[in-house]
Amino acid sequence: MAGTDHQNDLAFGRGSWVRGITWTGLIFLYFPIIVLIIYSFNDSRFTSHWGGFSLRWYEIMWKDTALWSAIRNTLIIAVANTVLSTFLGTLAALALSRYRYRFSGLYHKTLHMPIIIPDIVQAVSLLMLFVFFNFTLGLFSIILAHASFSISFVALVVMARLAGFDHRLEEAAMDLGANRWQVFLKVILPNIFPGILAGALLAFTLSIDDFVITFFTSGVGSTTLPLKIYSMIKFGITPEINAISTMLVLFSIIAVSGIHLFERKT
Amino acid sequence: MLELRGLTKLYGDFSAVKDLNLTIQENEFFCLLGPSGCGKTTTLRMIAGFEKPDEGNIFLNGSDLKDVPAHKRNINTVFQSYALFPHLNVFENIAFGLRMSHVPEKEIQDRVENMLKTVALDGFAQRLPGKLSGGQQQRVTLARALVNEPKILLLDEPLAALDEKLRLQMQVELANLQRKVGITFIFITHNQEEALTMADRIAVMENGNIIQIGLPDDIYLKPKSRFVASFIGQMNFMKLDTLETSDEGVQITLPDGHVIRLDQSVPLANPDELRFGIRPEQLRMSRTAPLPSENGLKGHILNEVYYGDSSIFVVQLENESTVSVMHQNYLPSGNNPESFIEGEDIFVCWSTRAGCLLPE
Repeated sequence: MAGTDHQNDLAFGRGSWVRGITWTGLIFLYFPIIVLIIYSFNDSRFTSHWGGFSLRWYEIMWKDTALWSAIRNTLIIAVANTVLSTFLGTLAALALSRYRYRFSGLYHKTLHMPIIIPDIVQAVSLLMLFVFFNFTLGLFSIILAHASFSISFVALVVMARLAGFDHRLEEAAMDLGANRWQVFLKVILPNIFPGILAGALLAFTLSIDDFVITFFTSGVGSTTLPLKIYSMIKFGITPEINAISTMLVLFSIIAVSGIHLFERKT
Repeated sequence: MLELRGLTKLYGDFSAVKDLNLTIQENEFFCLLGPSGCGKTTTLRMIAGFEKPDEGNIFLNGSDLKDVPAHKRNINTVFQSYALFPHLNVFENIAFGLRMSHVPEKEIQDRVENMLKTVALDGFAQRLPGKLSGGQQQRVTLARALVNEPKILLLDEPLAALDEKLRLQMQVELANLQRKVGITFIFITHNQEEALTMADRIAVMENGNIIQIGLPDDIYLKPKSRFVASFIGQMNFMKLDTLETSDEGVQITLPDGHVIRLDQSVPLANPDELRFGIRPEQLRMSRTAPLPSENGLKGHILNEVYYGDSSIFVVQLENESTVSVMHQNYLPSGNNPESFIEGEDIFVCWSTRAGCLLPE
């Protein structure tokens, strides 16, 4: 937009108050993370005082096999959940935004439910469901549990993208000889792909991040990273947790930068 | 040859198109002209295959298109909104139709490049549509449709979004292009000027049906109804008292007793059901009496509407009715003694060959 980045001379947002509030907000958000990263290089066993620079906690983390198995579980669940919920969520979005049928309004509203309902309620109800059907708790139950809420997020993100899709493009494609399937593959899919990708990333992040629902639906040998960190804290906070967290932050920064690069290209 | 037979399209109780019959010849530049809501877009969409007629048939070279879906019709559309694929560059947009019909890659390359030259866009092949101006996007849409060498090209108000200058330029280009490629063009517009400048034949639509069809000058000079007359340009109307046929044409007595001549053969009808119509540019103002070959009525100038190249003078005649007279601004306006001024008494004159009679 040519008009929106125009700077005027009204000096909105340039007062010292606004600056003060902005900096307070930024410090509140990032100061704890910066402290956490600094203390991951602490040579001391305790997080309360500084004992000199060291990489020993990174070494301990590197050799912690239980931790690596938790990371592996987390990634398996996240990838499986992403594939499952992106596929189903995209189909749901297409059905809901393209067609009007009986109860389609109701279906649309139920999509919002997993976002509104508290995690703990969902967690308990999923656990009861799995127990009722004698379903073995483990990686597979966690994947299903994660998909049950990720689908909503994917569907809503893709629907937002579809809302901006010009349906006359479909007519144009058909006019030029494309059948329904070709219209979908050559015109609809490329245009909503950024939405699908955003939905997939959201599903992936939600899955890696989730604690409450995972806690209730996990079984023996399916400990994920958040569950592992939680159990480690119960035995006292060591800088190893800081080291793990630092690696997660680093991973997130790399991932987000990657997405930005991709977005700039397209 | 495209034939529409008894075409009807209903939206609930509202009939967008009703019992429409039309035959369009090969290589014709045909224009459907009408105000918005007259059914011209619906007609076009039925020809393209986006809408199914509720009744009637469409025949293309004798074969019924009833069960032919849009993507299998050898008809392409130029959309008002352009509808270019935003994720594909200019080349791929134009190549889309050829790829759908599995044309060999080498041939696609040649045909798209030729088409880019035809619409004067060579060098823009790699651009995305979003990076083009409105006129350039317009030409890509044209190229994307024409490259498929359709039997018929449908154009849905393609110039509506362009600014005045570009529109005039594109009108000329479109007409030239149509002659060059030799494809039937069906053009819909609500802009009378577009229709008059480009079309071989014009059909004027109102309320879902065609009310007049003919050559541009026929439609302009001999409109069949007051709707057609006032939709295409402006027209002054006068009531008739009596109508007498003479050797050269007709003699009309106006209600105030003035007699005017119209040197045309006119089918006889009851003068109460007719109006005499004449266009503003067919009238002239004069300070001297009309020539023998002219009709003349006295009046005085009420006011002038200035358009730059010309002015429209509103003149009140002796019988209290007003007429609009177009006056070329041959002299610069200002204090020229020759200039007509408001309040001045003048004659309104016109050739006895100009004007027409049309039903009330």
